[in-house]
Amino acid sequence: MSVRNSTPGYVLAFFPTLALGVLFLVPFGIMASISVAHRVTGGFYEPGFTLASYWRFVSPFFGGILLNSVVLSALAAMLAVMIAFPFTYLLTRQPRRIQVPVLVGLLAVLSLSEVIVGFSWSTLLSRSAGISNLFVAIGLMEKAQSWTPGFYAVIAGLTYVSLPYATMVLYPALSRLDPELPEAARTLGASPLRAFFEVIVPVSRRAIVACLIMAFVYSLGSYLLPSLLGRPQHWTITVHITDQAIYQSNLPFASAMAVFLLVTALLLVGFTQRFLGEKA
Amino acid sequence: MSALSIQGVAKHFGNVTALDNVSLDIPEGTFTCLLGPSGCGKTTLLRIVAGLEQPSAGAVVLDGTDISGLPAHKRGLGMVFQSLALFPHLSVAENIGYGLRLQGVSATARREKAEELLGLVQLEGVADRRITQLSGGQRQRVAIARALALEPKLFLLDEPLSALDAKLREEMQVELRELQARLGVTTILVTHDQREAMTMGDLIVVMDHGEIRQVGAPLDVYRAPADRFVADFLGGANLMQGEVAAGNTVQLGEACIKIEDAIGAGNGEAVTLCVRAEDIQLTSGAPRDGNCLTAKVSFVRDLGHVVEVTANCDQGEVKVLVPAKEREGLAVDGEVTLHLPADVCRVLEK
Ligand SMILES: Nc1ncnc2c1ncn2[C@@H]1O[C@H](COP(=O)(O)OP(=O)(O)OP(=O)(O)O)[C@@H](O)[C@H]1O
Ligand SMILES: [Mg+2]
Repeated sequence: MSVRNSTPGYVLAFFPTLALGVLFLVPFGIMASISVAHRVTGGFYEPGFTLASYWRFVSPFFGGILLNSVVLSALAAMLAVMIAFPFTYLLTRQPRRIQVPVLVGLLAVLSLSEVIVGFSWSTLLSRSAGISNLFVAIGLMEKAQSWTPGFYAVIAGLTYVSLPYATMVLYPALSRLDPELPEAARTLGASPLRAFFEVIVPVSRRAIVACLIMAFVYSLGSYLLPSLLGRPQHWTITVHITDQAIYQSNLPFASAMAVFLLVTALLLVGFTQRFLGEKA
Repeated sequence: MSALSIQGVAKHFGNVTALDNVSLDIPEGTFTCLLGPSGCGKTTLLRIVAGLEQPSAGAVVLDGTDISGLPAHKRGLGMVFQSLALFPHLSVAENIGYGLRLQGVSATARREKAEELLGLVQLEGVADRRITQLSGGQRQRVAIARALALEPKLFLLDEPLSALDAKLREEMQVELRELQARLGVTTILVTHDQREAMTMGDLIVVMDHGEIRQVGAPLDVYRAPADRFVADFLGGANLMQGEVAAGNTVQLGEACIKIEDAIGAGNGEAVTLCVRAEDIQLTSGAPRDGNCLTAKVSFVRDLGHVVEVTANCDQGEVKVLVPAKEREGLAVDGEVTLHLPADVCRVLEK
């Protein structure tokens, strides 16, 4: 015991501090300083201090982007959790020999790059080769339609890539859930469905909220899917950051948006941790 | 109050046989203890009665009605789970009132009922607490109150006291027995603790390997175990191998032990002689009936009120409980004479 504790605390704290500094604080500092730099139209930027880039947030244009990003990510996150939760719950009730291959399969889906996922969805939702042809064939639709690019195509893509992550976040909590809890509800007169919604869901609320945030932040940060499956009006803030930084050469505004995105995400995580911490 | 009849129930999990053709009748208003070692199928039997598990064969009949096909939420039975399974997201009162809420009972009536039940389990003033704010013993009482809230036809408990410390467990055993007697609800309790079963049960059902070995009142089962397993599991009797000899006796090596009850097995058949440790006496001279064995003391354990003497004779190890006042003169490696009175010796054919 005493031998282990004899290493001074500051030595142990050195590596995390260094890693945090090099990997996070320094880049963030650079980004923050660029966000207040003067923009040189048609050129680069020169150092200085102006809040001009931040002032651009107060505009219908930026408000629209923000609203769209939040709505898209929130919808995708909710859909992902709504699909992943019952799926993961049922999975944890299966014998191990079924659980393991399914989890391995999910990990395999994780290894697919967003590029592949994006192009697959755009093919799947296209008019020429898409799923609507199938609906026409079985008589559900009059003629084949193109659903991409579009709002729902972006949602579908984001939900799809969030699903394996959502399952991974929910899995530990749900497999630890006492199987006697829903059974107790059943002996008290609750149907299986009722026991699911009145016991399993509320008991897992921490995992559900954690999963929602994870899926939300993940969708918010996705660059490829909105640009691949959406029209410019469906672009999320991440796509706009890239657009401003690379195509419009407006690094200060791109940086300001990135700072804003980061601060929002941090606040969101902090707020929910606080909220959950008090409830437990 | 209801009578339960379990008829030829079997349960297989893949190639594991958890229950094998179990039949049992439980009279109305009795307290029944299912007793057996770990993995013998006690929980499985209780879960089949509750409707949480489907039997592979057989039927569960409650008050003359076959309820085998009824799902758990329509059986109207109260159950206390091994993990207690209290809802952590609800308060104590909400836990107790959960079943009533499903039945559409108003909030004020639920509250009243919860308070009443908390009084019944002697746990007043915690109605608004969260489950995490209760001690183990308090949770136990809440789980009991919740299971009784719907005035169930059957009250089922799966090792409800196993998580409590020894002292609290003994108190709760008495309390639970008194509560059951007051309510008169037909109760089945699962336990692997024979003391617990003897304390609480009107009826003890001894199980092993998915089968029922013996059913009876606690003292009947204790005094007249049906086979070696029951004799050993319930109170650890001394079991000695011998064979039946003339004149209603059992030959144990050199010694010839007279038996009071008539022996069913024929002469020369191998049987087991079963004698409880507290029924054996230590004597100095030869007893009048001649039922004695000589043995060498291998260990003396002072338990305060009694002394447990372990002695070795030709038939193996024998445990003897003697009153503390007979402690004098007992020493390891000393020779003793064990007297086995004819009326306490039982012959087991299995
Ligand atoms: N869901 C299940 N799947 C497979 N086997 C099971 C299942 N439930 C029980 N078993 C097996 O059935 C047998 C009886 O189990 P059960 O839980 O009824 O024992 P128990 O008497 O309650 O034991 P304990 O005192 O340890 O709780 C055991 O061998 C167990 O491994
Ligand atoms: Mg059990």
